[in-house]
Amino acid sequence: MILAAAFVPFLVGGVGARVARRVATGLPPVAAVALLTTLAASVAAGCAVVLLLAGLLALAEVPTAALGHVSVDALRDHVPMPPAVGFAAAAIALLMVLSVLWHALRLATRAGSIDAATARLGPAVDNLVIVRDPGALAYAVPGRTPRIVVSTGMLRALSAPERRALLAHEAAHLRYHHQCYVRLGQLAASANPLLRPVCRAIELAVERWADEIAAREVGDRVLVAHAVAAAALAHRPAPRGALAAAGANVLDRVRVLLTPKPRRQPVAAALSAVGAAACWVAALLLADHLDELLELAHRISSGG
Amino acid sequence: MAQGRARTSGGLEREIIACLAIADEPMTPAQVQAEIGGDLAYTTVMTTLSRLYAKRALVRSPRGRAFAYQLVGDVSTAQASLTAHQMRALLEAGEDRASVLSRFVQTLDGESEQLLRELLSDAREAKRR
Repeated sequence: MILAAAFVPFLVGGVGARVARRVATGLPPVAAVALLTTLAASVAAGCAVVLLLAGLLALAEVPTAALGHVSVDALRDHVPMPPAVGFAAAAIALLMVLSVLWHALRLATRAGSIDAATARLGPAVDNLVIVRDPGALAYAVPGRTPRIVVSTGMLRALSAPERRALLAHEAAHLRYHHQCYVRLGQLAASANPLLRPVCRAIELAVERWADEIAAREVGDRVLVAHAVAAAALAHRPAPRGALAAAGANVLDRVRVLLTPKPRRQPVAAALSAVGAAACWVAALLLADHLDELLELAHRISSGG
Repeated sequence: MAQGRARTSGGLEREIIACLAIADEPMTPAQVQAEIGGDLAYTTVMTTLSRLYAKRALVRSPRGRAFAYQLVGDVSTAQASLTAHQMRALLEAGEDRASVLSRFVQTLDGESEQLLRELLSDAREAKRR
Protein backbone atom coordinates (compact mmCIF):
# COMPACT_ATOMS: atom_id res chain seq x y z
CA MET A 1 0.00 0.00 0.00
CA ILE A 2 2.58 2.45 1.19
CA LEU A 3 4.74 1.53 -1.79
CA ALA A 4 2.30 3.31 -4.06
CA ALA A 5 3.80 6.49 -2.58
CA ALA A 6 6.86 5.77 -4.72
CA PHE A 7 4.89 6.80 -7.78
CA VAL A 8 3.56 10.02 -6.28
CA PRO A 9 6.42 12.40 -7.22
CA PHE A 10 6.40 11.12 -10.79
CA LEU A 11 2.65 11.42 -11.02
CA VAL A 12 2.77 14.94 -9.60
CA GLY A 13 5.49 15.80 -12.11
CA GLY A 14 3.28 14.63 -14.94
CA VAL A 15 0.23 16.48 -13.69
CA GLY A 16 2.31 19.56 -12.92
CA ALA A 17 3.67 19.62 -16.46
CA ARG A 18 0.11 19.68 -17.74
CA VAL A 19 -1.26 22.41 -15.49
CA ALA A 20 1.85 24.60 -15.10
CA ARG A 21 0.98 26.95 -17.92
CA ARG A 22 -2.51 27.46 -16.56
CA VAL A 23 -1.03 28.29 -13.16
CA ALA A 24 1.32 30.78 -14.82
CA THR A 25 -1.46 32.66 -16.58
CA GLY A 26 -4.35 32.13 -14.15
CA LEU A 27 -2.86 33.24 -10.86
CA PRO A 28 -1.49 36.55 -9.64
CA PRO A 29 2.09 36.31 -10.95
CA VAL A 30 3.85 36.43 -7.58
CA ALA A 31 1.75 33.53 -6.34
CA ALA A 32 2.27 31.68 -9.60
CA VAL A 33 6.05 32.03 -9.39
CA ALA A 34 6.10 30.88 -5.76
CA LEU A 35 3.84 27.93 -6.46
CA LEU A 36 5.62 26.80 -9.62
CA THR A 37 9.12 26.99 -8.16
CA THR A 38 7.94 25.08 -5.07
CA LEU A 39 6.36 22.49 -7.32
CA ALA A 40 9.50 22.11 -9.44
CA ALA A 41 11.75 21.75 -6.41
CA SER A 42 9.38 19.32 -4.69
CA VAL A 43 9.01 17.05 -7.69
CA ALA A 44 12.74 17.04 -8.41
CA ALA A 45 13.59 16.28 -4.79
CA GLY A 46 10.77 13.74 -4.39
CA CYS A 47 11.77 11.78 -7.49
CA ALA A 48 15.41 11.76 -6.43
CA VAL A 49 14.56 10.52 -2.93
CA VAL A 50 12.35 7.71 -4.25
CA LEU A 51 15.03 6.53 -6.66
CA LEU A 52 17.73 6.71 -4.00
CA LEU A 53 15.60 4.70 -1.56
CA ALA A 54 15.03 2.05 -4.21
CA GLY A 55 18.78 1.91 -4.71
CA LEU A 56 19.34 1.62 -0.98
CA LEU A 57 16.90 -1.26 -0.78
CA ALA A 58 18.67 -3.12 -3.57
CA LEU A 59 21.96 -2.47 -1.84
CA ALA A 60 20.63 -3.93 1.40
CA GLU A 61 20.16 -7.27 -0.34
CA VAL A 62 23.83 -7.47 -1.17
CA PRO A 63 25.22 -9.68 1.63
CA THR A 64 28.44 -7.76 2.06
CA ALA A 65 26.77 -4.37 2.13
CA ALA A 66 27.68 -2.01 4.90
CA LEU A 67 24.11 -2.14 6.15
CA GLY A 68 24.85 -5.45 7.83
CA HIS A 69 23.25 -8.76 7.16
CA VAL A 70 19.52 -8.68 6.53
CA SER A 71 16.99 -11.29 5.63
CA VAL A 72 16.49 -11.01 1.90
CA ASP A 73 13.31 -13.05 2.06
CA ALA A 74 11.74 -10.67 4.54
CA LEU A 75 12.59 -7.75 2.33
CA ARG A 76 11.26 -9.45 -0.79
CA ASP A 77 8.02 -10.27 1.02
CA HIS A 78 7.41 -6.60 1.63
CA VAL A 79 8.88 -5.10 -1.50
CA PRO A 80 8.67 -7.32 -4.55
CA MET A 81 11.33 -5.42 -6.45
CA PRO A 82 14.16 -7.15 -8.32
CA PRO A 83 17.54 -5.72 -7.25
CA ALA A 84 18.31 -4.79 -10.85
CA VAL A 85 15.47 -2.28 -10.76
CA GLY A 86 16.84 -0.82 -7.57
CA PHE A 87 20.30 -0.39 -9.00
CA ALA A 88 18.91 1.15 -12.16
CA ALA A 89 16.99 3.59 -9.97
CA ALA A 90 20.12 4.45 -8.07
CA ALA A 91 21.96 5.03 -11.35
CA ILE A 92 19.23 7.38 -12.52
CA ALA A 93 19.32 9.25 -9.22
CA LEU A 94 23.07 9.64 -9.59
CA LEU A 95 22.61 10.95 -13.12
CA MET A 96 20.10 13.48 -11.81
CA VAL A 97 22.52 14.77 -9.22
CA LEU A 98 25.35 14.95 -11.76
CA SER A 99 23.12 16.75 -14.22
CA VAL A 100 22.20 19.36 -11.62
CA LEU A 101 25.83 19.87 -10.68
CA TRP A 102 26.85 20.18 -14.33
CA HIS A 103 24.08 22.63 -15.02
CA ALA A 104 24.94 24.69 -11.95
CA LEU A 105 28.56 24.82 -13.08
CA ARG A 106 27.53 25.98 -16.54
CA LEU A 107 25.30 28.66 -15.05
CA ALA A 108 28.17 29.88 -12.91
CA THR A 109 30.68 30.10 -15.77
CA ARG A 110 28.12 31.79 -17.96
CA ALA A 111 27.30 34.29 -15.25
CA GLY A 112 31.04 34.95 -15.07
CA SER A 113 31.41 35.68 -18.77
CA ILE A 114 28.34 37.88 -18.66
CA ASP A 115 29.69 39.81 -15.68
CA ALA A 116 32.84 40.39 -17.71
CA ALA A 117 30.80 41.56 -20.69
CA THR A 118 28.64 43.93 -18.65
CA ALA A 119 31.74 45.44 -17.12
CA ARG A 120 32.84 46.38 -20.65
CA LEU A 121 29.48 47.93 -21.49
CA GLY A 122 30.67 51.20 -20.13
CA PRO A 123 29.04 53.73 -17.85
CA ALA A 124 25.44 53.46 -16.89
CA VAL A 125 23.02 55.84 -15.22
CA ASP A 126 20.82 53.97 -12.78
CA ASN A 127 21.94 50.72 -14.40
CA LEU A 128 20.65 51.74 -17.81
CA VAL A 129 22.91 51.23 -20.82
CA ILE A 130 21.73 52.43 -24.19
CA VAL A 131 23.24 50.84 -27.27
CA ARG A 132 23.24 52.31 -30.75
CA ASP A 133 21.66 49.49 -32.65
CA PRO A 134 18.79 49.72 -35.14
CA GLY A 135 17.57 46.30 -34.03
CA ALA A 136 14.94 46.26 -31.29
CA LEU A 137 16.58 44.82 -28.23
CA ALA A 138 15.95 45.12 -24.52
CA TYR A 139 17.05 42.94 -21.68
CA ALA A 140 17.96 42.92 -18.04
CA VAL A 141 21.26 41.45 -16.95
CA PRO A 142 21.45 40.37 -13.33
CA GLY A 143 24.82 39.85 -11.73
CA ARG A 144 27.50 41.77 -9.92
CA THR A 145 26.82 44.86 -12.03
CA PRO A 146 23.13 44.61 -12.85
CA ARG A 147 22.27 46.33 -16.09
CA ILE A 148 19.28 47.18 -18.21
CA VAL A 149 20.38 47.20 -21.83
CA VAL A 150 18.14 48.84 -24.42
CA SER A 151 18.90 49.56 -28.05
CA THR A 152 17.99 52.81 -29.75
CA GLY A 153 16.03 50.69 -32.24
CA MET A 154 13.80 49.49 -29.41
CA LEU A 155 13.36 53.00 -28.00
CA ARG A 156 12.31 54.34 -31.39
CA ALA A 157 9.76 51.56 -31.79
CA LEU A 158 7.92 52.67 -28.66
CA SER A 159 6.00 55.74 -27.56
CA ALA A 160 7.19 57.63 -24.48
CA PRO A 161 4.69 55.95 -22.11
CA GLU A 162 5.56 52.57 -23.63
CA ARG A 163 9.24 53.26 -23.00
CA ARG A 164 8.39 53.96 -19.40
CA ALA A 165 6.61 50.61 -19.21
CA LEU A 166 9.58 48.82 -20.77
CA LEU A 167 12.05 50.38 -18.34
CA ALA A 168 9.81 49.59 -15.37
CA HIS A 169 9.51 45.99 -16.58
CA GLU A 170 13.25 45.49 -16.83
CA ALA A 171 13.89 47.25 -13.53
CA ALA A 172 11.40 44.89 -11.88
CA HIS A 173 13.41 41.87 -13.07
CA LEU A 174 16.47 43.22 -11.33
CA ARG A 175 14.73 44.52 -8.23
CA TYR A 176 12.92 41.25 -7.48
CA HIS A 177 15.80 38.96 -8.48
CA HIS A 178 13.72 37.08 -10.99
CA GLN A 179 16.74 35.19 -12.27
CA CYS A 180 16.76 33.15 -9.03
CA TYR A 181 13.35 31.64 -9.74
CA VAL A 182 14.17 30.91 -13.36
CA ARG A 183 17.47 29.31 -12.37
CA LEU A 184 15.81 27.16 -9.75
CA GLY A 185 13.32 25.95 -12.36
CA GLN A 186 16.14 25.22 -14.78
CA LEU A 187 18.07 23.24 -12.22
CA ALA A 188 14.96 21.21 -11.38
CA ALA A 189 14.32 20.58 -15.06
CA SER A 190 17.92 19.56 -15.63
CA ALA A 191 17.49 16.92 -12.93
CA ASN A 192 14.16 15.80 -14.25
CA PRO A 193 13.14 16.43 -17.88
CA LEU A 194 9.55 15.89 -16.81
CA LEU A 195 9.74 19.39 -15.36
CA ARG A 196 10.64 21.26 -18.55
CA PRO A 197 7.11 22.59 -19.05
CA VAL A 198 7.10 23.77 -15.43
CA CYS A 199 10.38 25.57 -16.05
CA ARG A 200 8.93 27.34 -19.10
CA ALA A 201 5.87 28.26 -17.06
CA ILE A 202 8.12 29.85 -14.43
CA GLU A 203 9.72 31.96 -17.18
CA LEU A 204 6.28 33.08 -18.30
CA ALA A 205 5.12 33.84 -14.76
CA VAL A 206 8.25 35.89 -14.11
CA GLU A 207 7.60 37.94 -17.25
CA ARG A 208 4.02 38.47 -16.13
CA TRP A 209 5.29 39.57 -12.73
CA ALA A 210 7.42 42.27 -14.37
CA ASP A 211 4.53 43.20 -16.68
CA GLU A 212 2.20 43.76 -13.73
CA ILE A 213 4.80 45.87 -11.91
CA ALA A 214 5.12 47.95 -15.08
CA ALA A 215 1.33 48.20 -15.30
CA ARG A 216 1.16 49.47 -11.74
CA GLU A 217 3.89 51.98 -12.49
CA VAL A 218 2.19 53.44 -15.57
CA GLY A 219 -1.31 52.81 -14.27
CA ASP A 220 -2.54 51.13 -17.43
CA ARG A 221 -2.37 47.42 -18.28
CA VAL A 222 -3.48 47.94 -21.87
CA LEU A 223 -0.58 50.31 -22.39
CA VAL A 224 1.84 47.62 -21.19
CA ALA A 225 0.18 45.13 -23.55
CA HIS A 226 0.80 47.52 -26.41
CA ALA A 227 4.40 48.05 -25.35
CA VAL A 228 5.02 44.29 -25.27
CA ALA A 229 3.32 43.84 -28.61
CA ALA A 230 5.07 46.77 -30.28
CA ALA A 231 8.42 45.53 -29.02
CA ALA A 232 7.71 42.00 -30.20
CA LEU A 233 6.65 43.17 -33.65
CA ALA A 234 9.70 45.42 -33.95
CA HIS A 235 11.92 42.59 -32.84
CA ARG A 236 10.96 40.52 -35.88
CA PRO A 237 14.09 40.56 -38.07
CA ALA A 238 15.82 37.66 -36.37
CA PRO A 239 13.90 34.48 -37.01
CA ARG A 240 16.36 32.01 -35.56
CA GLY A 241 13.83 29.26 -35.07
CA ALA A 242 13.96 27.47 -31.74
CA LEU A 243 12.27 30.39 -30.04
CA ALA A 244 8.71 29.63 -31.08
CA ALA A 245 7.78 28.80 -27.51
CA ALA A 246 8.97 32.23 -26.52
CA GLY A 247 6.59 33.71 -29.06
CA ALA A 248 3.84 31.91 -27.22
CA ASN A 249 4.97 33.72 -24.06
CA VAL A 250 4.47 37.11 -25.69
CA LEU A 251 1.00 36.13 -26.84
CA ASP A 252 0.01 34.91 -23.38
CA ARG A 253 1.39 38.02 -21.73
CA VAL A 254 -0.50 40.32 -24.09
CA ARG A 255 -3.66 38.28 -23.74
CA VAL A 256 -3.56 38.43 -19.93
CA LEU A 257 -2.77 42.15 -19.92
CA LEU A 258 -5.70 42.88 -22.23
CA THR A 259 -8.10 40.97 -19.98
CA PRO A 260 -9.38 43.27 -17.25
CA LYS A 261 -10.00 40.42 -14.82
CA PRO A 262 -7.93 37.40 -15.82
CA ARG A 263 -9.74 34.10 -15.44
CA ARG A 264 -8.51 32.36 -12.31
CA GLN A 265 -7.42 28.75 -12.34
CA PRO A 266 -8.21 27.45 -8.85
CA VAL A 267 -8.12 23.78 -9.89
CA ALA A 268 -4.68 24.01 -11.49
CA ALA A 269 -3.43 25.96 -8.49
CA ALA A 270 -4.84 23.47 -5.98
CA LEU A 271 -3.42 20.52 -7.93
CA SER A 272 0.01 22.10 -7.92
CA ALA A 273 -0.05 23.00 -4.23
CA VAL A 274 -1.39 19.63 -3.08
CA GLY A 275 0.98 17.86 -5.47
CA ALA A 276 4.03 19.67 -4.12
CA ALA A 277 3.07 18.78 -0.57
CA ALA A 278 2.32 15.18 -1.59
CA CYS A 279 5.87 14.80 -2.94
CA TRP A 280 7.36 15.56 0.45
CA VAL A 281 4.85 13.42 2.34
CA ALA A 282 5.50 10.51 -0.01
CA ALA A 283 9.27 10.83 0.33
CA LEU A 284 9.07 10.97 4.13
CA LEU A 285 6.65 8.03 4.32
CA LEU A 286 8.85 5.90 2.10
CA ALA A 287 12.02 6.73 3.99
CA ASP A 288 10.32 5.90 7.26
CA HIS A 289 8.92 2.68 5.82
CA LEU A 290 12.26 1.56 4.46
CA ASP A 291 13.89 2.25 7.79
CA GLU A 292 11.35 0.06 9.58
CA LEU A 293 11.63 -2.61 6.96
CA LEU A 294 15.39 -2.82 7.18
CA GLU A 295 15.21 -3.02 10.93
CA LEU A 296 12.70 -5.83 10.69
CA ALA A 297 14.75 -7.74 8.12
CA HIS A 298 17.82 -7.25 10.25
CA ARG A 299 16.07 -8.60 13.33
CA ILE A 300 14.73 -11.64 11.45
CA SER A 301 18.16 -12.35 10.06
CA SER A 302 20.03 -12.03 13.36
CA GLY A 303 17.25 -13.65 15.39
CA GLY A 304 17.50 -16.72 13.15
CA MET B 1 -6.13 57.39 -18.62
CA ALA B 2 -4.77 56.61 -15.19
CA GLN B 3 -1.42 58.20 -14.56
CA GLY B 4 -0.01 55.43 -12.44
CA ARG B 5 2.36 55.90 -9.62
CA ALA B 6 4.63 58.76 -8.93
CA ARG B 7 7.96 57.96 -10.50
CA THR B 8 10.93 56.97 -8.45
CA SER B 9 13.85 59.26 -9.12
CA GLY B 10 15.82 56.37 -10.63
CA GLY B 11 12.91 55.55 -12.90
CA LEU B 12 12.62 59.12 -14.09
CA GLU B 13 16.36 59.39 -14.71
CA ARG B 14 16.23 56.29 -16.88
CA GLU B 15 13.25 57.65 -18.78
CA ILE B 16 15.03 60.90 -19.46
CA ILE B 17 18.19 59.13 -20.61
CA ALA B 18 16.11 56.97 -22.94
CA CYS B 19 14.34 60.04 -24.27
CA LEU B 20 17.57 61.95 -24.93
CA ALA B 21 19.21 58.91 -26.50
CA ILE B 22 16.89 59.01 -29.48
CA ALA B 23 16.52 62.78 -29.74
CA ASP B 24 18.03 64.31 -32.84
CA GLU B 25 19.28 67.38 -31.02
CA PRO B 26 19.83 68.61 -27.46
CA MET B 27 16.57 69.07 -25.58
CA THR B 28 15.46 71.74 -23.13
CA PRO B 29 13.61 70.76 -19.94
CA ALA B 30 10.36 71.94 -21.54
CA GLN B 31 10.91 69.68 -24.54
CA VAL B 32 11.73 66.72 -22.30
CA GLN B 33 8.63 67.42 -20.22
CA ALA B 34 6.46 67.53 -23.33
CA GLU B 35 7.94 64.31 -24.65
CA ILE B 36 7.75 62.28 -21.45
CA GLY B 37 4.29 63.22 -20.31
CA GLY B 38 2.20 66.04 -19.03
CA ASP B 39 1.74 64.87 -15.45
CA LEU B 40 5.35 65.66 -14.63
CA ALA B 41 6.07 69.04 -13.10
CA TYR B 42 8.50 71.21 -15.03
CA THR B 43 10.64 71.68 -11.92
CA THR B 44 10.89 67.90 -11.45
CA VAL B 45 12.20 67.51 -14.97
CA MET B 46 14.60 70.39 -14.52
CA THR B 47 15.90 69.05 -11.21
CA THR B 48 16.42 65.60 -12.66
CA LEU B 49 18.23 66.98 -15.69
CA SER B 50 20.59 69.00 -13.48
CA ARG B 51 21.18 65.96 -11.30
CA LEU B 52 22.09 63.91 -14.38
CA TYR B 53 24.32 66.75 -15.49
CA ALA B 54 26.00 66.76 -12.07
CA LYS B 55 26.55 63.00 -12.44
CA ARG B 56 28.28 63.80 -15.75
CA ALA B 57 25.77 61.72 -17.66
CA LEU B 58 24.69 64.75 -19.69
CA VAL B 59 26.30 67.78 -21.23
CA ARG B 60 24.44 71.03 -21.69
CA SER B 61 24.63 74.15 -23.75
CA PRO B 62 22.75 77.39 -23.22
CA ARG B 63 19.67 77.84 -25.36
CA GLY B 64 17.62 80.97 -24.81
CA ARG B 65 17.04 81.35 -21.08
CA ALA B 66 17.39 77.63 -20.39
CA PHE B 67 19.89 74.89 -21.07
CA ALA B 68 19.61 72.21 -23.70
CA TYR B 69 20.82 68.77 -22.63
CA GLN B 70 22.22 65.79 -24.49
CA LEU B 71 23.87 62.52 -23.56
CA VAL B 72 27.53 62.80 -22.79
CA GLY B 73 29.92 61.45 -25.41
CA ASP B 74 27.06 59.56 -26.90
CA VAL B 75 26.88 55.82 -26.52
CA SER B 76 27.94 55.13 -30.05
CA THR B 77 31.49 54.34 -29.02
CA ALA B 78 32.82 51.35 -30.87
CA GLN B 79 33.61 49.57 -27.61
CA ALA B 80 30.09 49.75 -26.24
CA SER B 81 28.45 48.60 -29.43
CA LEU B 82 30.95 45.78 -29.88
CA THR B 83 30.25 44.61 -26.37
CA ALA B 84 26.54 44.90 -26.99
CA HIS B 85 26.91 42.59 -29.95
CA GLN B 86 28.85 40.12 -27.87
CA MET B 87 26.11 40.27 -25.28
CA ARG B 88 23.57 39.65 -27.94
CA ALA B 89 25.49 36.62 -29.13
CA LEU B 90 25.70 35.30 -25.57
CA LEU B 91 22.04 35.94 -25.23
CA GLU B 92 21.09 34.02 -28.30
CA ALA B 93 23.67 31.27 -27.91
CA GLY B 94 22.06 29.04 -25.35
CA GLU B 95 18.68 28.19 -24.13
CA ASP B 96 19.67 28.87 -20.54
CA ARG B 97 18.31 32.35 -20.35
CA ALA B 98 18.72 32.58 -16.60
CA SER B 99 22.05 34.32 -16.60
CA VAL B 100 20.94 36.90 -19.10
CA LEU B 101 17.44 36.86 -18.00
CA SER B 102 14.56 38.08 -19.94
CA ARG B 103 14.82 39.93 -23.09
CA PHE B 104 11.77 42.12 -23.03
CA VAL B 105 10.34 40.08 -25.85
CA GLN B 106 11.49 37.23 -27.99
CA THR B 107 11.34 36.58 -31.65
CA LEU B 108 7.89 35.80 -32.93
CA ASP B 109 7.12 33.26 -35.59
CA GLY B 110 4.80 34.27 -38.40
CA GLU B 111 1.72 32.71 -36.89
CA SER B 112 2.22 34.32 -33.47
CA GLU B 113 2.76 37.64 -35.16
CA GLN B 114 -0.57 37.32 -36.94
CA LEU B 115 -2.30 36.35 -33.70
CA LEU B 116 -0.71 39.26 -31.90
CA ARG B 117 -1.95 41.75 -34.47
CA GLU B 118 -5.45 40.30 -34.18
CA LEU B 119 -5.36 40.56 -30.38
CA LEU B 120 -4.41 44.21 -30.59
CA SER B 121 -6.99 45.14 -33.18
CA ASP B 122 -9.68 43.32 -31.16
CA ALA B 123 -8.64 45.30 -28.10
CA ARG B 124 -8.78 48.54 -30.05
CA GLU B 125 -12.26 47.76 -31.34
CA ALA B 126 -13.47 46.82 -27.88
CA LYS B 127 -12.21 50.15 -26.64
CA ARG B 128 -14.01 52.05 -29.39
CA ARG B 129 -17.33 50.37 -28.72
